[in-house]
Amino acid sequence: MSGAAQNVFHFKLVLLGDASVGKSCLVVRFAKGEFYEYQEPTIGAAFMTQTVNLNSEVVKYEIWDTAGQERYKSLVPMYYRGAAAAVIVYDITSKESFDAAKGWVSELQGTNTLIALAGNKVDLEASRVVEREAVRAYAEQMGVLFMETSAKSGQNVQELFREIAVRLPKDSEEDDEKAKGFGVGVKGAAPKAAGCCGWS
Amino acid sequence: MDESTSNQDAEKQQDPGEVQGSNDAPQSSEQMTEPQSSEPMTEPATSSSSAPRNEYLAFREMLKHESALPLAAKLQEFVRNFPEGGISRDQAADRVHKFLSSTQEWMLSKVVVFAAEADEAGQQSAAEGLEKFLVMRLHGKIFWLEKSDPEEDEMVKRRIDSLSWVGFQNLGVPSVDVTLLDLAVDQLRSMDKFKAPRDKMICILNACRVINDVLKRAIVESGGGRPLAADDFLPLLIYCLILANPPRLHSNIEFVAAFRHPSRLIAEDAYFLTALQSAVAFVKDAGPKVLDVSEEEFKQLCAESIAAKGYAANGTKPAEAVTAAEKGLELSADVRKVLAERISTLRLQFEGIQSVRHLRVGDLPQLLEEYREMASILKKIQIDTLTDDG
Repeated sequence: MSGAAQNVFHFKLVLLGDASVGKSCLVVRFAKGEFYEYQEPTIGAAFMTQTVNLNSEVVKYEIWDTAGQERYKSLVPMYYRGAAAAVIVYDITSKESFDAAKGWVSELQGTNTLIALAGNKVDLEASRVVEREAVRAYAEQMGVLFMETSAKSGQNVQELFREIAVRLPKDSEEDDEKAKGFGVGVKGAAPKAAGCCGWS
Repeated sequence: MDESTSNQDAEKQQDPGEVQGSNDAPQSSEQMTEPQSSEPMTEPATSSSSAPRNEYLAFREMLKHESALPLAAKLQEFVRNFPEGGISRDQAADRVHKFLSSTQEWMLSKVVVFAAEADEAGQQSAAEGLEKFLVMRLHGKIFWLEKSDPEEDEMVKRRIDSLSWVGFQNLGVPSVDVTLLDLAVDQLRSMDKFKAPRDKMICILNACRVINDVLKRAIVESGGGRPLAADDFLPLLIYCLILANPPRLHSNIEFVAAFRHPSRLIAEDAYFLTALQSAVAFVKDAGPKVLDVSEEEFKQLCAESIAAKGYAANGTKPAEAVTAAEKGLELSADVRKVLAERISTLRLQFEGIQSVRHLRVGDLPQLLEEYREMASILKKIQIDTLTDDG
């Protein structure tokens, strides 16, 4: 360990959204952005971890993917239980996916989970059907974080997860306790690779 | 502790090997194959899963150390005083976890042989050993903790038996080579062979890793496209679960969820346990809509499936049908009629012959013909009762 010890915070982050909105692409993109040298290319997983370095804090996400098909919808509450944050993803070229996203926003409102809404596939601007400004107004009204992203180009992907990390309350002691007692990968500062151009 | 300083007999009784006495279920799982990292599958990547068996043996050895006598006594006392029923699973878990947390702290600071474990890995493995040692000895009292557990296990088993027709298309995923899933199916079934929550958890993890590997392979073969996600993983887990129909599924999962110490039920373990719980929830509720079949098809497929698994019409599962007569009872009316006709045409002219010596060479062609017809009828019974298994 070198330098001042950083506080490490573990947060469970759940991914919600329809099956074809690119949830997993988004998170693979996020995971590769900083750590791509350790990642197998484009493989992904239903469970992933990724670290965000803030100045004096390290936020370690445990990212829980959920199945987006309609038939598995009723199971999703089992996954978001106890999540610190939820990233609700929709596809800007699909009105249906946005309606589904709104459904998740309403469902999670009133829980302690921090909600972020991600309008993905912004690289497909020409096919856009969900207007940015309308969603922005909706997000403001609902008090949720909103960004348009592109898993393909990387646009706003790091920013989204970083912003969530900034907003998450860091007063929970128990996380530290857990980590201390059983050594679940508490590391010093995570090495930071440059930029987010690791997509290949 | 006073007990530790008492005479030699007492010391003998406190030998950890004897603590469990006879109140525990069959031979301890220590005798069985552990879910080892040497299994022919992706090695558990978490450091906590490495060589669990050796770690546990080391713990058992340390528990025999003189300084550990008070610890052994304490464990024994806790097990002895643990209530037989009358409390909920949550209450029992809470009691076990509180005891483990305080005992662990005391063990690692005051019990010389364990306090000597200076590094994190050593302490962690001692804590794991403590959990395993204790929970295995409580197993008989806490596995079927709720009165409804055995019934629930039966219900889930029957439910899964009724879904044996479910294929990839019903779950909304592209098909994969089913033989590659054998290992995952084995691991899911193995959960029941172990008593310690961690060992059961390792089985779950192993199954999930096999599924992930199969998916990765499928993705690579299809040329990439999209990354592996829960959209693929969960349906395949459900598929494996239906194939495996693991014994005492409900109770095993609830047991891990309740008695694995919360400080260790984290990260990937927590995710995959939740995934399995959600898969069980899915099969419990799955109706025609989510499985993409009509109401009638669903009813028929389930009825056929359940009959093929040997359940009687009243829903009870008799012993496996072994005789043709038993199998005959499971057939549909139409099939039975056809078979009855065929059976009635059998002349059975050799029925009365008691010995080979009374058989003439000239009888052989007739004998063979009759034999073949009987074999064909038997096969028909077999096929009609056991179809749609794959």
